[in-house]
Amino acid sequence: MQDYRLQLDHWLYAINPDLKLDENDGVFIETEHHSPILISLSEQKPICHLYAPLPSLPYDDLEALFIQALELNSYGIPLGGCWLAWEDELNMLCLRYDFNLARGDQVGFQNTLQNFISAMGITTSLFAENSPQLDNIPIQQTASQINYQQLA
Amino acid sequence: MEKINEFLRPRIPNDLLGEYGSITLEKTNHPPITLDITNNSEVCHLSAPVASIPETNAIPLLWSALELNSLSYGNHECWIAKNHEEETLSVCRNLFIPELDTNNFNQALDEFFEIASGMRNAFLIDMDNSSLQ
Repeated sequence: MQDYRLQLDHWLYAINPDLKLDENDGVFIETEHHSPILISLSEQKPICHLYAPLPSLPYDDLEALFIQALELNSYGIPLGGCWLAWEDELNMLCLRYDFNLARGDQVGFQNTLQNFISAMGITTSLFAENSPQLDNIPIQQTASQINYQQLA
Repeated sequence: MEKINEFLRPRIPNDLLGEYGSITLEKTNHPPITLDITNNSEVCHLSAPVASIPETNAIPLLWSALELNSLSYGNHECWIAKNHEEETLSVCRNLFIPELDTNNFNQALDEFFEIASGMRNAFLIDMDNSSLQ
């Protein structure tokens, strides 16, 4: 795993020289309009997990919120391959994505981050509407497709 | 699509992906897996039903599903979603077609059958427990 830690640190440095994995193999990236993103290196696999808490969702109707979240997870669309999960420690929904370090590169990683931030915006705006028309949502290119294209 | 049909041939010689790039595979005592491939996509989407959403008191099940999504299922890159037109939860996984060959594709399918089966059983136990409370 040590090689992947170095690789990820290198890619983080390219985004911002102040970004570096901490002693727990995690790092927070601040975003302009949304919550910070936590990037955490897996202990077992060449994967880094991306998490973003979503505090501004309508938590007053949990059933409607959960159904909408799970429907958004369908096919990984329209969240670009990201998915929604409940984080017990934060007691709220988070956006999640797993980036495969073994088959990714620096450009793919940066595109994935950009795509992840876009998905945060899409999620927030979809939940802001009362009854989103999922069929009318423009399909975003999936994070994984972008990565793969960069590698091709 | 042709590539996936080639990978499927050892498993189901006479039944291949249809015109719409979709096929359902069955295995005894496991939930059926549906494979979907859209035209020109490099991703093969797998899904398998793992729980029915009850008409009343659905929150515990939905909550459990979203909690499971915070894990990585043993790093098999799966997640749980709700089917739009059905009151069903499915486990999903995307396979990147250019990385696949006959062996690792069928291995991934077998793994997915086991994940779906394990998850379906876990949800059944979970629902039994919540109905007892």
